[in-house]
Amino acid sequence: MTYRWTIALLPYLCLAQLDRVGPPNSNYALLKNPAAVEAGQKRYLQLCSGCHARNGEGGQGEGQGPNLITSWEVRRAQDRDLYGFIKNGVKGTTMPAFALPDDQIWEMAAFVRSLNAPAISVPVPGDAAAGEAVFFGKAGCSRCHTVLGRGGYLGPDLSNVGATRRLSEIREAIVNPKAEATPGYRPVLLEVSKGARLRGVARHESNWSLQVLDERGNLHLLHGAEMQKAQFQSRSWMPAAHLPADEMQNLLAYLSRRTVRGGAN
Amino acid sequence: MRLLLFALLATTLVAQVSNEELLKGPNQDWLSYIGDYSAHRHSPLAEINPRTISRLAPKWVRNFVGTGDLETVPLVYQGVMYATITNEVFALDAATGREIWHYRAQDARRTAVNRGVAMLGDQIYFETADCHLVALRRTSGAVIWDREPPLRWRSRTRSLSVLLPPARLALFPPSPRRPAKKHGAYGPSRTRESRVRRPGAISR
Repeated sequence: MTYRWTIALLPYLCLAQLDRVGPPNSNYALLKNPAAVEAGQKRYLQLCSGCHARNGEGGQGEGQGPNLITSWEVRRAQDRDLYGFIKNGVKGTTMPAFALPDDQIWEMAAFVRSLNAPAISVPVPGDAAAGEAVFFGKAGCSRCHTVLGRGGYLGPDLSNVGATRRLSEIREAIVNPKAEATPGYRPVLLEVSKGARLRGVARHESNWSLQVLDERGNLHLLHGAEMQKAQFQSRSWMPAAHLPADEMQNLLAYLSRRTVRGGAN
Repeated sequence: MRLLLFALLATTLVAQVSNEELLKGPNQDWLSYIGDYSAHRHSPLAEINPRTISRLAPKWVRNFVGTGDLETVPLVYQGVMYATITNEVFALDAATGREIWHYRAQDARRTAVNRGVAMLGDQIYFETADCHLVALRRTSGAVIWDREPPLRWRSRTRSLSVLLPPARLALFPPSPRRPAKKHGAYGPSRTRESRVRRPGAISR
């Protein structure tokens, strides 16, 4: 009887396993080898940067290569597909075939993959522990950002930033932050009592209501005329960081390992 | 001076949901899945009654994109409503329905309906469909911790709510263990709650 049940349930058990298979972009075996990524980068600069630009952000104008950092095709491709694009070129485009030894093509594929992958799946040089000290100390990141509950309220939570952002995005956000804040973090000065003002961010805004989180972590739900208590500021609260190269690298190493669901380090 | 210090403290501390409030049960707030620990799910508010019910009118409507099955019991605290769909929590301005923050368990491996969160102090407790228990900051939605389920639960799917037992309080003696039903009826026998004794320590 049990045997019959087992046979009957087998297809369902197989189906139940399907959702455990990761998305196709989880194939990052190449990235486990930092030396390959580095060698690939050197060759990329010689051969590919003419069309795809130095950092992979893509060329301007017709016949230029697409942005490899944001390309969905690159993210979706398996490692062997990336290898194929480089080795054989891409039909119907100006992407040529490269007659190179296999191992060199694999190295280039590893580098292209590293441009596109979330930070956690890329080897990042630097001392993460020292980076943590920079984050919570000298650089003052934790005055506005939290990591696993430690830190301030004016910036986005960075507990999972390694799984959700590419390394290049993290670096860019630190070195060259946009003047305009991302939606949900528009800066306001909030009048909390007569003459007393607090910094805050508008987590949501419309013509009729405003939901503000202040720097002390309190929510203010402003409706109608109360909205006048909040004054929008033109520049995001995020300053550009001016750190020595080694501290910057340590900070990147720390942030790129931040995930809430394992996979770290 | 003492008054000044008190005023300073009052403004620097985020409002905390206390055990006493959880025990007191619903008033204008609704602090746990079942309302209070007698589980009557009854609100003492009297504004809506047989005489006024005909005047009820919709104030706002919110569509949770990506879910066809909304079973959440939203909690309400100080004008903010905390609602869930599978693997996601929303904090909404209860007066307008506007979104204050939104948390998504990025790499959750399964989906199932979700019945709601629990709150204590300045934290929100949420369970993902693949059994991770997550603590979030109530006002900002930032992750405080994410606990993996015990090994024997790794392949399970959960569609429940989180319920906090009142700390240091034994109102109800523990009930003797009953053998689990083979085919549980849709309802209480399926709603086993995750338990958080104190933030950080979990027993289930």
